[in-house]
Amino acid sequence: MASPYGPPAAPQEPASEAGWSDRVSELAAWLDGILAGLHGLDLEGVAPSSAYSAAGTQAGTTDAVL
Amino acid sequence: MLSCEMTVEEAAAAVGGRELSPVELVESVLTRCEASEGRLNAYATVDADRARKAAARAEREIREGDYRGPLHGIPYGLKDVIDTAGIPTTAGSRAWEGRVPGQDSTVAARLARAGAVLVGKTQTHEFAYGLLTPQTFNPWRAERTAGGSSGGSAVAVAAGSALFALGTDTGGSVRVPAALNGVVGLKPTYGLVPCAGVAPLSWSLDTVGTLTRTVGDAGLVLRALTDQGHHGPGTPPRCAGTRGDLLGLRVGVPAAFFFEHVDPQVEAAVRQAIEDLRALGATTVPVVPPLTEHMEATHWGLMAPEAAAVHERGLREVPHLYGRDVRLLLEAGAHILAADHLRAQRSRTLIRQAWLGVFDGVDVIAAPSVPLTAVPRDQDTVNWPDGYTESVTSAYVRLSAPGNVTGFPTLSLPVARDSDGMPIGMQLMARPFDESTLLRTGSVFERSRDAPARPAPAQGTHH
Repeated sequence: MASPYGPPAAPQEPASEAGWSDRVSELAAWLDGILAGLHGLDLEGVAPSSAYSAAGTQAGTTDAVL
Repeated sequence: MLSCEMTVEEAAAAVGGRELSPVELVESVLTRCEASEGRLNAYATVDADRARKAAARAEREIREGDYRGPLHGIPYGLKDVIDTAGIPTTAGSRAWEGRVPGQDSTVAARLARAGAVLVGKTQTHEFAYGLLTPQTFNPWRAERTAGGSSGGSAVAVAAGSALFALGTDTGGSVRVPAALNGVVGLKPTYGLVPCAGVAPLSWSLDTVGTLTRTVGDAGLVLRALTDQGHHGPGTPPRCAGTRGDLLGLRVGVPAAFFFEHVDPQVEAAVRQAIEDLRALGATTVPVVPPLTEHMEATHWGLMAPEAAAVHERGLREVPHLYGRDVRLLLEAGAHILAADHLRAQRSRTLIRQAWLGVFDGVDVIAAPSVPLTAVPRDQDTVNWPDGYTESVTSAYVRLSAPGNVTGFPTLSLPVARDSDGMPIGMQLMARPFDESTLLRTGSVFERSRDAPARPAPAQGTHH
C-alpha cells in the first residue's frame, strides 16, 4: 500500500556531482555497518530512551546544580 | 590589561563596583572584533549598534542602582543556531540565509534578563552537524582547525572578541572547539538548559553549553541559564586552589577507552593534570568505562536518523542549498531503519545505567577531551602508529560521545599546550545534575595554576 505521504525523497544529484546517489548509498552502508554492532546486545526487557526519558527523572534546579 | 581580556568574574567585579563602564567594556570587545575578525572570522553577524545601545542601557541601570548580577553589562556571543529576535540566525547554512527569528530563544531571553550584552552570532558548522567550522580560524595557529561545531563561539572567547559565548553540544560540539582553542567548555546535563528556540540537530542529544575563559565564568553563565527568575543572582563556590581543597574527591581514571589512540603529548598532559588533582587532595580510582564498544553505534543510531527527520522538509524542498558534507550525512541518515533507531535508544538506556554504576565509586571521571590537538585545516584522516586510521571528525567525536549518549555533565578545561603551542584539554564528567562537583573540581584546578586565563596571542594570518 502506498504511503499517504508519498514516496521518500530520492537523493537528487547536485548539479556538479555525478554519482551522488552512490555516495549516499556508500555512507548509508557504512552507517549500517556501525549499527550492526548493536545487534549483539542483550536488550531483553530494556526500554528505549526518548528525548524525554533521556532527561531522566531528577529535576534539575538552580539550587541543586550550583 | 584591556578590558576585553578580562574574565567574566573580573569584569563583573569591576562593573558591579562601578570601576568599569559596560560601555567601555563593550567598546573594547568591538575594537578587538574589528582587529581580529578579518583573520579569525569567529562571527557570522556582529550587531555593534545594538550592543552599544544595550551597554548604554546597562550602564544607566547600574548607575541608578538596578544591578542585575554578574552578567550585567558583559558582552557575549551566541552560536548562530540559537534564535535571537530581530537578528539573523542562519545556522551557517544557505538554506536559512536571510532568516530573522521573531522571538528570542529561551537562553537568549534569560541572558537578556541577566543584563548580558549580545555582540553577535558566532559561526557554526552548518546546522551544527560537523566538528570543524571550516569558515573559522584557530587563533593559536591560523593553519589549524578551529574545531566545531561551536567553533565561532570558542574562537571569539579565545580571541577576546567575547567574554563568554554559548554553543551547542550533540557530539562534542562545545568541548571539542573548547579543547582545540584553549578555553573552557561546559556541556551541562541533558535537559538542564532549555533548547527552545535552538535549531535542533538531534532532539535526544542536543545540549546548550557554555564557552568561557575560566571554570568560574562557566558557573556564572550556567547560573543565568538555569535561573528561572525565582532566585537572585549568585556565584559558584570559590576555592583558592591550594593543597587540600579537593580532599575527599574521588577521581576516576579510565583504564580503557579514553587513553587509547591518543597522542602521547595529550596523554602525558592529562595524566599530569590528574596527578595535580591528587596533589590538591583528590583520590584517584581506576575505572573501566562500560559498554564503550557500543558508544559509536549508539551515538550514530540516535543522531543520524533524528537529524534526517529534522531536515526532512529542507532536503525535499531546497537540497541544493545544503553543504555537500552535511547533505550527505542527512540523506544517508534517512536510510536508517526505525528498528535500528530504537535499538540505539535501548542501548542508551543500558549505557546510562552502567555508567551511573561507575559513579557509585567515583565523583568525577577525568580523561582527555580529544585525542589530539588541532590538526592542520587540510588534514582529513588520522593515522595511528598501530595502523589504525580514522577520519579527523571520528577522532574528535570519539571521546566526546559518552557525555552525549549518557547525557551526563562534562567539562573541558585547558591543562597544557603541546610542542607546537596548541592547547590540550582535559574533560571531567560527573553524575547527572552534579555540575557543582565539576565546577568545583575545575575551579580548584585552574586556581592552582600559575598562568591566568588570557586570550590567545594574535598571530598568523589566513590567505
